[in-house]
Amino acid sequence: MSKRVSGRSAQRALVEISGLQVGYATRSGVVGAVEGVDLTVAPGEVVALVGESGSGKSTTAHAVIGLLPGSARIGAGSIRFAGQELVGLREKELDAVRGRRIGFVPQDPGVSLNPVKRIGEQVAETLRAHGLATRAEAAEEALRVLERAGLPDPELRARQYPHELSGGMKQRVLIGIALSCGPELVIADEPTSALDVTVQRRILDHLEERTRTTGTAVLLITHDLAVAADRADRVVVLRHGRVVEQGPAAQVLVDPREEYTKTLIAAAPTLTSPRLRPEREPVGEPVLQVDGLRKQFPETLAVDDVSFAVRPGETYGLIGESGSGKSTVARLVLRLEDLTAGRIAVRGADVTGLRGRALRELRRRVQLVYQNPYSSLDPRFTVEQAVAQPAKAFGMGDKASRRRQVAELLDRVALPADTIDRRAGELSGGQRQRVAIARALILEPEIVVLDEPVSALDVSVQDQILRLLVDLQTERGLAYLFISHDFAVVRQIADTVGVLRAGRLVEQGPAERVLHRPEHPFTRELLDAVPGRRPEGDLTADVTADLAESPGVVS
Amino acid sequence: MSRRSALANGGYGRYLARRAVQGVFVLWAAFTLSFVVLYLMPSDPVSIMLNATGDGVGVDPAAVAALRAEHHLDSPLVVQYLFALGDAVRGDFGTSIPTGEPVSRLIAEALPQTLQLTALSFVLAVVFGGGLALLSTSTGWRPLRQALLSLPPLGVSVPTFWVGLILLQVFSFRAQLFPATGNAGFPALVLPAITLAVPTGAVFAQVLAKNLAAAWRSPYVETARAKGLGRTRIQLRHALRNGSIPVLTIIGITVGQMLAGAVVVETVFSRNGIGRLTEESVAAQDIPVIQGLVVLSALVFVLVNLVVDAIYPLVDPRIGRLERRRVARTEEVPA
Repeated sequence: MSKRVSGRSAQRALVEISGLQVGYATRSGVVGAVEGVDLTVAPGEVVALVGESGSGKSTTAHAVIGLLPGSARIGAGSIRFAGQELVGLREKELDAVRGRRIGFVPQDPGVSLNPVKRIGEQVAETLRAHGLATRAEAAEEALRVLERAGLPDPELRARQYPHELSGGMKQRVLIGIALSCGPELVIADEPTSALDVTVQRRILDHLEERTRTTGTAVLLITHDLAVAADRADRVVVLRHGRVVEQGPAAQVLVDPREEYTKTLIAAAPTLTSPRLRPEREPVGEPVLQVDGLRKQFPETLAVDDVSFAVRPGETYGLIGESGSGKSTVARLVLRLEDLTAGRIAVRGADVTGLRGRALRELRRRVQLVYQNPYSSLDPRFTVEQAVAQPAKAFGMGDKASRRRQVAELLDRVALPADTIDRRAGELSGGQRQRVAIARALILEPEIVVLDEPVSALDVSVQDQILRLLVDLQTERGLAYLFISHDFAVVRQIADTVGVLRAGRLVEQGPAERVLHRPEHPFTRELLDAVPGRRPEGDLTADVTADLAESPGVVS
Repeated sequence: MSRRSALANGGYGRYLARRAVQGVFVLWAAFTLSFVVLYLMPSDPVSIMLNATGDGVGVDPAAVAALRAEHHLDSPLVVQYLFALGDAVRGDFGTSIPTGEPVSRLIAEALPQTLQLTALSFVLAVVFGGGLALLSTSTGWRPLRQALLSLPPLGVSVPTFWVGLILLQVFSFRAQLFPATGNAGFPALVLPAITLAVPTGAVFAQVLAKNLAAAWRSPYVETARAKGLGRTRIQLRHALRNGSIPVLTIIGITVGQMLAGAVVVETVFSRNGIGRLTEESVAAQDIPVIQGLVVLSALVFVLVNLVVDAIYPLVDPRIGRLERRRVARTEEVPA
């Protein structure tokens, strides 16, 4: 879908949204999510709707296809699709448009297919619902849909259930379903944010190729500017339910006019953006030393012969895709999981076999920050309770002294003083992650294991949290084991990088060396898959849409 | 991980065999537990046999000794237990103390009545409970949905005997549509079956409605809507199948409740069935019969759950996940 129709936006628009307002009914009245959005999508055009969480990008997309949740109300505005007004249409009339003329690719393929129905049926029922095929024809056509979706052995896939397919395969099925009736528009709502980076690239390539050959327009919803830059003709930046800026992808992302767009671009880490702190040569005795770590689960070898060392003040970035065993390594290091073989030493002392009291003492020295601050903090706890809990568990100080300590830490992680009496449930994602960091620091540990600490956060918040982590490290000489799937993020703060694949470290070394001169082919593949690396020329190339091939419809 | 392949390689048979073995264990545990509890009770079976009041006054010591020997009551408890277990395995639970009739015959006579009653009320519970749940989640009109959804909690909370008495009052005494008491034919079965179906159906409705609503909020239903499928189609083809999986679990558990409910219902409607037999044997402290009834209910429980286990993998292909859930559930089931 790269840049097909630079000059075509002037044509009659396929989608024309004007003055759209959508609000959600809550107990405290209606909360506006979309507050007057205007945007158009030309036939065959790829438009990226970019914004952070709460920007209204997903609500806008759902309004187009009439899939707003029950609590949402369209307050004003119009959505015209191929000349037809969609706002106010009855469900039955919408059903004729959905699936047939507008396809939808959901966010998380893992939960977007019915778990108890065979893949083939789920593909075929769309064709049948729109009267494009009889039962027998639909079953046949479903195989062709799966084949075009790039799935090997379509007959087998059609008989399988969703849980027997990988995430990438499921997303191919969903793309196949979305395109099966030859729609004029496909709405892709963060289609790859639940997938690994290498899978993400293949899926986006596939979507691009399919929509280009059929001349299908795409409304791509994404939080990832790099994805938008790589894939869209035009970019629309949303913030707080309003359009901040829109224009050709090359112009908006390379030469933005609005301040907000600039901050957004500056905050998004790429493989070329400056590091948050200079890479340092690790010195001194390792504070954490791991040798020949191995973990055998009943059916898989999750971690196989992993060895590395982290020195005081050093950040060791452990990179891997889902299922690579990186979180298992974290759990092993924290001694939350028993290892099958290997040795873990903290400041030279073997902690592999610690039990009971001695193991509890180890917890003081090795702390953890989880990925998702929405689930790692009890929403009913006050911030004081959450942060003070580890200290209380170790019987440190009295209530008053702990409160003082919490107040100091909150100040240190740049949270306002009155946060102390609020509940975690009232805080934003970034604030919660600051609370989680404060909680990890109250025991004054030497090692902090950071398991994807910014993956659940918006880019601007992500940037702030990474900076905070760097400051705290400098100030306290902390050793970080930083686990992430995101090369661009790891590169910002790691001194040393290890690449984990199927439980094995395929490569490790100084961050810049691994990044610029990767030795292992898998590292190269990972780096190539990071979005935002398309050659500049591609951004302006006007590829004529190849409309020759007819969309796969049974007539 | 490879549950599916395990299933394909005859794992289904192994899976069922494992369940069956667990079932046998449940039966044994039920027998043992009831044996220990019943035979350690302070009342003396022999005194009851010779004198219905059980106070042991004016009883011939020779007769007592003879009876004790006959029922192995003079042996140590372990020996008594082993004799009883051996008999029970062969289906012999001894004879009723007051009447001298074999326990197995008493149960065999009462069982058909209760089976008819529970079978009909089970069908009613599934049809009306399921229908109520489907209706309440299908309707877009909020007041109606709220009204429908308030029925199940009501059904669970009203006492069974009260429902029975109301039905009797309205349909037997006033309208005279159905006979008030007895075992004669289908008409006599209707009111008791409805009475028994109310609490069970209410539980089905509640669980199904809750799970249908959850299914409607799930991303796969959003996908289905995005495909342009109509509400009815989504409800029946997507939501219902997912929503009925937990109901299957509930069915295994509610069977026990239905047997307990039969005690009340058969008493209220004066039907001769297992419920009545239970009530009478308890009142008479007829220990062999009670023991037989305990094992019978355990057997019913085990069989129903075996059927549920057999259906489970057919409804939910994610056998691996379900295995764990099933194991967790079996542990909760009282023996």
